[in-house]
Amino acid sequence: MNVLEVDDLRVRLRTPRGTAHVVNGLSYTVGPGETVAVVGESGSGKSVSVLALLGLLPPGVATVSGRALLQGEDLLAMDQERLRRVRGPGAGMVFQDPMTSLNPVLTVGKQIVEGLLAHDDDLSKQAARRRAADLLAEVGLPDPERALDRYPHELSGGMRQRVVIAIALSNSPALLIADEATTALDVTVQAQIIDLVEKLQADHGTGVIWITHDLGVVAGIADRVLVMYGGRCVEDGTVDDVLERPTHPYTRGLLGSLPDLAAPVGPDGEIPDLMTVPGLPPPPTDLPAGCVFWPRCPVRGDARCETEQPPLVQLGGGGLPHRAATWCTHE
Amino acid sequence: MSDVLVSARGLEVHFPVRSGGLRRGNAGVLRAVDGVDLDIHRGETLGLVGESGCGKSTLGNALLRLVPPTAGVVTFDGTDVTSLDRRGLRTMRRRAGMVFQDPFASLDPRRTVAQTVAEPLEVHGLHGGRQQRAARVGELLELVGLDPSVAGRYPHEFSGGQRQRVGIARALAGEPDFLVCDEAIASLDVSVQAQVLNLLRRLQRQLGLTLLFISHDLSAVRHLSDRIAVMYLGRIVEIGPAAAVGTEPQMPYTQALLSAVPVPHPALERQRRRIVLRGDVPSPSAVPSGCRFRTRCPYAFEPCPTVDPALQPVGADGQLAACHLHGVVGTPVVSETPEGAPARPAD
Repeated sequence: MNVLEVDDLRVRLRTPRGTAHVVNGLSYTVGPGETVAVVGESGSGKSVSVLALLGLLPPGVATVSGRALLQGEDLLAMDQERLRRVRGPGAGMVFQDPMTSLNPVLTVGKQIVEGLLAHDDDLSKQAARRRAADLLAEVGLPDPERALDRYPHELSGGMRQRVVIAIALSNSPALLIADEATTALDVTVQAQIIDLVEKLQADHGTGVIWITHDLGVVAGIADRVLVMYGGRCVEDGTVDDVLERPTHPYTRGLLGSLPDLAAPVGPDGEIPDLMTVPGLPPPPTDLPAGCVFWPRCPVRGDARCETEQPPLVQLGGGGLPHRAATWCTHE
Repeated sequence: MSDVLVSARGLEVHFPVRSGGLRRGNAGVLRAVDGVDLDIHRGETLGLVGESGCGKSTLGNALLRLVPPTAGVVTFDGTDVTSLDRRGLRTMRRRAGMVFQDPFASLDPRRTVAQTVAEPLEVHGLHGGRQQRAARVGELLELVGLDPSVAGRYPHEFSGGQRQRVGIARALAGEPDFLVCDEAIASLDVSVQAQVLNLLRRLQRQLGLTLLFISHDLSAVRHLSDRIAVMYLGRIVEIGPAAAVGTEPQMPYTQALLSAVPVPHPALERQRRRIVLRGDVPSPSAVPSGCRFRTRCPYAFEPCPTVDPALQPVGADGQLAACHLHGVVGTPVVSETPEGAPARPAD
């Protein structure tokens, strides 16, 4: 059984500029032990789509519809109390900035113990503290016993993010959501954190949703990739298909605009200019009627681009699922 | 005319560290830049990479004397920058521009684009007369790919990428020879980063600029630079032609740094052996003795804790690294490869 099945997720936010259609019909699954990367630029709806799953959007502002089965139970139909119960053991979340996701006035130990006790009424305080130390050891914090009594500001960025991961994993969730979890970290620390998550995932069989804008990170960790633009999935498939055989003009543009350490040098000894995607993403309050990428698309031309939304369809001759939502699949 | 435009010798920027709280006292010295020798050649793009806290921004600032060096000499086109008076400094700064990281913080929200871009012209008394200045502002905006008609608008009306273009136009206003870009693309989205990278490369060629491109993004640095300098704990630990440093790094830190940069090719990523460094970067107020990288280096051996290695020629032509593994030029000391670490690339 899949850990998570999202079906036709839609999120609208009330804003001073009108209704923002931030997520517009997103469907995907995450299997046990599988890593699904959600990629896209700022404003593509990638973060909001997972915040909506866990009921973390302000209820007065956000309208969420669709279905999201976490281990068979619909997250979007749960009341707050049930949702609170599910968040720890069902799904753990790691946010971008470890400084803001930790409480600066509580010790690291207190923050881990808090999560453990909230989800296990039979656990004694001493046992919770021992379990917290084990967790810190598991995420590679040196001297975990002492680290329990430290405050977040006493730790480096990488160590803080390890603590956040320890908290997210403290109730052995079936699903781990990492929202730009390594973006604020240096590359060598990023490598440490990615190694850690991969190891923990292999040990526990956790399904992972990894939200990032960094396609290099995606290439290293993801099994499958979902490319978001304007609140829609414009392409998804295995990591090899999407990154090596991108089909949607946006995916191609995104990959082309990436400076690449492994880029071949041209005949003049120079690295050729980067491809760019002209213009800017459309504001979610004012999405184009047809294809959401149409106004910036370098290969637009089909009569339907402007008026008709392209469906997400399977490409080529079967094989592994690789879908794209574009009218321009011809080469 | 010398081939070298900007040069640093024995450059140090040390900050006193004061203990907080009620009883303030000196608690030590933070060695942000700690003995840098560097030559930046006319018309080249030098990429300066390193992780947060390595001192790369402070070095960039010290070259323009935006922070005063505590020791060492910086020369700009043969003139000693460290001893310039106010007037001399002003002349120097007309010839050296700076583009900052955050296009939201580095533009005054109450000034129009035209006022922002024209300010250096006023300060340096260039293009006198309102009409001439307006014309020059239009030229500059066009140069960075903005429509001159936006001159009357305010920063909040622009996207991040457009603001960064305004910042570049301002930096170019005094017709500088030297441009320092400090994390100029770090806060931009991928597709916008590409636009700014292409713009910088075009401008560098078109105007014959000398560019110091400071970034933590190795891929971007590799893309733009002729030469790359790698910084660790206040010191340049490797420098050389971009292709050589980018593909055959000779210093273990550079090797680890490069191996940690993810590349967007799944098959390649699966093959690559990432060198995961132990621990964190030591604090710049407690720099290790000897080689400053030794506490995390997988190859550390006898001389490392005691002898501070100097930059010396290694590998490709013009490539220098500060590492005891390169005992005598071209003949690296053979060391046992530690378990789990990949073999060093052949020289």
